[in-house]
Amino acid sequence: MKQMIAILGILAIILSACTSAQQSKPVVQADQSGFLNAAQSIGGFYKIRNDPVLQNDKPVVVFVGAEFCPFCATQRWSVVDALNRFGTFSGLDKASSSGNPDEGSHSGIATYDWTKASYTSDYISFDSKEIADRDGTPLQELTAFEKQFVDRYNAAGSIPFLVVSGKYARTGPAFDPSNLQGKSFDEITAELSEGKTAVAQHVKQDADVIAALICSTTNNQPEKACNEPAVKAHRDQLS
Amino acid sequence: MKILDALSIVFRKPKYVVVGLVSMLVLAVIYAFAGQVVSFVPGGVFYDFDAVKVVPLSIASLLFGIVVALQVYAFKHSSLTLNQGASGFYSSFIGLTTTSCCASLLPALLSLVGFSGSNLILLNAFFRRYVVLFTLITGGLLLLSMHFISKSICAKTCGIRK
Repeated sequence: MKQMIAILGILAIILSACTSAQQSKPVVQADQSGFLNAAQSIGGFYKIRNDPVLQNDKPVVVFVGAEFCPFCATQRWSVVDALNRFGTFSGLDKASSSGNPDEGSHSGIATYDWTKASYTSDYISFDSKEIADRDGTPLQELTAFEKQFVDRYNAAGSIPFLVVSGKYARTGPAFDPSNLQGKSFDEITAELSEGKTAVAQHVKQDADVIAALICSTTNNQPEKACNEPAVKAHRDQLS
Repeated sequence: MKILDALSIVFRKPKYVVVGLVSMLVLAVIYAFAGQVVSFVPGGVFYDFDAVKVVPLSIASLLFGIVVALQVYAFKHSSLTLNQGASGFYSSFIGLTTTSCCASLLPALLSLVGFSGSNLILLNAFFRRYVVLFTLITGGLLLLSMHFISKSICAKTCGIRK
């Protein structure tokens, strides 16, 4: 009898957890002062605060992911594309989620490794953490600052977790990683340069959204990045 | 050899083959989503046929299907204690928890009991790291479950057959 009760209890917990998981996607608990609802979200981002959060006196972009995660690998492409419009990365390296496409694997997603990179910008700060490597071995620890975002706005602990300017948050990838599957880092880079393929369009579209969200907290500076037509269109949606 | 005897007794009847196949498929589907072998993403469905995920999940699903068929047979023939039946369920539950990379199932479960988002991220990485070990434990528990159920089935049927 006790075993039966235990089984039923576990089943009930699973069912309630599934229900809560469905209800809470994306898991963002906004502060009380006006946030976008699902219908108003832009590119999957939800407004979580009214004011930007600063780091080194600049609005901060926070990324939390893991090297084994294919969705994180996908997300890095558009983050790098967007951030390159506001500053400069140095020390970016090639990487992939588990299974390396450069070694012939079809399961991994080629991506950037920014664990040893630095980012400089006059407009924003970039704060990223990869919590584990491709095998799940702990890699970088979250700081108290980063934990605040995760604990408050990502209760389910989903990755990738991206917070733009401390105002907008999103969990999960912006687009289907299948678009990148089976392609090497260099192939993807070439496609992005040409700008014609589905990969290039997906990455650019998401980068445009991220750029627009950043621009909303930098007084639309730099002009070159913020006045791009696609970015401006997203900015208009925000206002 | 009791397991083989029990299997031959149970799977001789087509309805238990169906029970086993359905159970295996149901668990495989749950595993596929919980382990993010299949994921709904913006703009489509993402299939991640990473051998590290797919092989253990397939084996666990197959074993689970066999255990369920044996359990149903044993229950029907009243030769199984609830205690033995529960072990199959628990082993499958452990299996599910090990396949939760980035998935909502386990984090959602644990967030209900007060785990913070940052702890859940670490926990996901932990399960990812030890996925092979946990899968071995799951397989071991399922085999143990098969052994107990087979013993129960054989206690009645195998003796009579001989």
